Amino acid sequence: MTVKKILLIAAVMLVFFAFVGGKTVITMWVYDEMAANEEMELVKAQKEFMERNPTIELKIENVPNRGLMEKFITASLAGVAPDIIHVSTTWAVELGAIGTLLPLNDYISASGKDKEILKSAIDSSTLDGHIYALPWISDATALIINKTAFEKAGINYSRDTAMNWSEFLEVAKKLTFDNQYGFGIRSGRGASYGWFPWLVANGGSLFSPDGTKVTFNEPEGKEAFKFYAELFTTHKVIPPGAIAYDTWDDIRNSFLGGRIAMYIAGDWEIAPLRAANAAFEIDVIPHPMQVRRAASLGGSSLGIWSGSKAKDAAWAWLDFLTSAENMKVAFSYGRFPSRVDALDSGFINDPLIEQFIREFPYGINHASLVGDYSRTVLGDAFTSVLVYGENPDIALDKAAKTIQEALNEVLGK
Amino acid sequence: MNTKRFFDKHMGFFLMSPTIAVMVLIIIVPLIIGLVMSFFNYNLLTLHRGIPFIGFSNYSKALGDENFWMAFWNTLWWTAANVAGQVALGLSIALLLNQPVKGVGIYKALILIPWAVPSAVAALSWMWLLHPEFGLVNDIAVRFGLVSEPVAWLGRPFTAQVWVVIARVWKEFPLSALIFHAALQTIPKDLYEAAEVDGAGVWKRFWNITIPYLKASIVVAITLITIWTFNSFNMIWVMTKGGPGGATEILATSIYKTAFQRYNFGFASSQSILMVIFLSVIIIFYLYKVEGKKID
Repeated sequence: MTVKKILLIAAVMLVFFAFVGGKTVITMWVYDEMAANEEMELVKAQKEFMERNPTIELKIENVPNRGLMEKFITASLAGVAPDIIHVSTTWAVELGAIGTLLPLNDYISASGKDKEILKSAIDSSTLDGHIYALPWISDATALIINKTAFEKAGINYSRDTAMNWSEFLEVAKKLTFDNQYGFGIRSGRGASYGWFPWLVANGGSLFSPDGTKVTFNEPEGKEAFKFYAELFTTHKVIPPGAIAYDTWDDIRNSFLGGRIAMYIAGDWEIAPLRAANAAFEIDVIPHPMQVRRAASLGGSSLGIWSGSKAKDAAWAWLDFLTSAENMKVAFSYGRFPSRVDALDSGFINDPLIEQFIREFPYGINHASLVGDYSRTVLGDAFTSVLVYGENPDIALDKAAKTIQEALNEVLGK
Repeated sequence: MNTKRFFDKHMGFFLMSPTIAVMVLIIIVPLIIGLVMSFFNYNLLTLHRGIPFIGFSNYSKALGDENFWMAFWNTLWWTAANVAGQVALGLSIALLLNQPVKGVGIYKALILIPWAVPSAVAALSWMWLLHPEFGLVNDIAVRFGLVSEPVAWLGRPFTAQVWVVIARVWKEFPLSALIFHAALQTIPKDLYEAAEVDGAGVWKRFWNITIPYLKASIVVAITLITIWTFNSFNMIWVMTKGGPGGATEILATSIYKTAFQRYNFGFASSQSILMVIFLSVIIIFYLYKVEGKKID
């Protein structure tokens, strides 16, 4: 046998194994340590998926949520991003707009997912008709309260009817005495995130429907901004330390420590609150309303990197993970799947989680082309009012001008 | 024979070449890419409209931006305060370590602990110490009657500025302490003995013997601390993200926001190049003044 023949056979075998024996390897980045150990449902689903799809090898990597967006953009530009990324719902539009995420419209319509996934969740990942991520977990915010403090203060509350702003303020004032404050908010970017539903509840909006004009500084917005800021500056129902509440941990610890009696957050807070064994009873009631009801709609979605070499395999995993049979994965983390049939799935037997789900119909999303930057600028506007004592109207106008300039730049105006 | 002579002559270069290649790859290449990018409208959100060459527009925009200048002045005080704090604390610790004390080796090891702690961990630890309600600093301050109620240290402009400096000085002072301690070992003991015989007190001995001998080390320490602080990012980003209201916004955090919140890499690159120029000017001016002559 000549050397040429040996080389030819080797080459044929190599090609044969590459096609027949080789596996398509896909990688997924997931945050919140959702695949931290073998006992976690995501890892179990991963194994089941690979058993059903022996030609696909799925690798899941836990990555910290903090800085994830930057890390993904950098990896994407360098051509080394993972095939699938678990992203906060508010990021999908921006990541899609900069070309790092693949539009999933064809996959979604072919698989019928558009009928299975909540429309509001899909809308939050859509820009110019392109759906950049498949919603996996959804959440809406509601008012978390110290039930024991309410009872001690002789305050009756409803789990069904939302308080209007004046009722809310009255309750917050009654709960503010000694070292306790009625309400708590996060500072900076957290304040802007917390304010969005108040803006919408007052009839305002962040941007015009076509997304080209900043509208949050119109009269409804100014009134909402002033009310929210005055809870701290005038009514003093928010503790002075709130100007340094940066993370959810900060505000939760303040709540658990009895410093604040109410705060607004999503269902992700329930598991850590229970784990902390609070010295009081906790309940969840509707988000305060004004001319309409509103709550922040968020959650997390699954995107496919536009540069992925295994898009079909990546979609197969997304399809599998968001199927009805795998709703148990999201529920196992105390989270709510973005499926329309989730509420009837039989998994919901938690009276606190149920309260958040009842906010879904009022959920608003705040994803936009300049979403991340907007949160920073509006956060600075809150700081200038809460810390520097600037006039709220002036601060909001300044923020609107800055964000409009950024938007114009992006839109090429 | 000629080949052997050639290799003998250039052996140093051959041995250095892998290191040089890596340095070029991770320092020179990104610097050139950044420089080139700074002349283009390289915005990730507008890539569909192309990446047009815009000359010095990014630079004129940066130089006319009040936020950029606010970050610049913040960077100056942040750097100056860090240099002063780290040199003063480092020198004090070095002088203490230079005393004939039992177990000095253990103390030397102990002072290295802050330096060994990762910046993010140190910053998070300081955030907990400074927590507006449950932090140890507030607990002590309230117990001793220094404040009537807990203070949001990182939520107020001045206190935030002070605490980020304290946190970084605590984290980084071991380097200057080690540099000064090493230099103190080289000062001949008989100089102090002779000065003491001549009637020089502690302060005179420190000022006329210790400081002149440490001068070179102080220049090195100040130069290194200036460079590392001017372009530092982690501590402030984790503790305040440049807030409240821009009170601790330094060039590094500002540039990061331009790049990763506005996705304007071209503008961020021009700010980075300006930052390098500012830092170079400061260092050259400082060395020129200290050395009392032009730097080659």
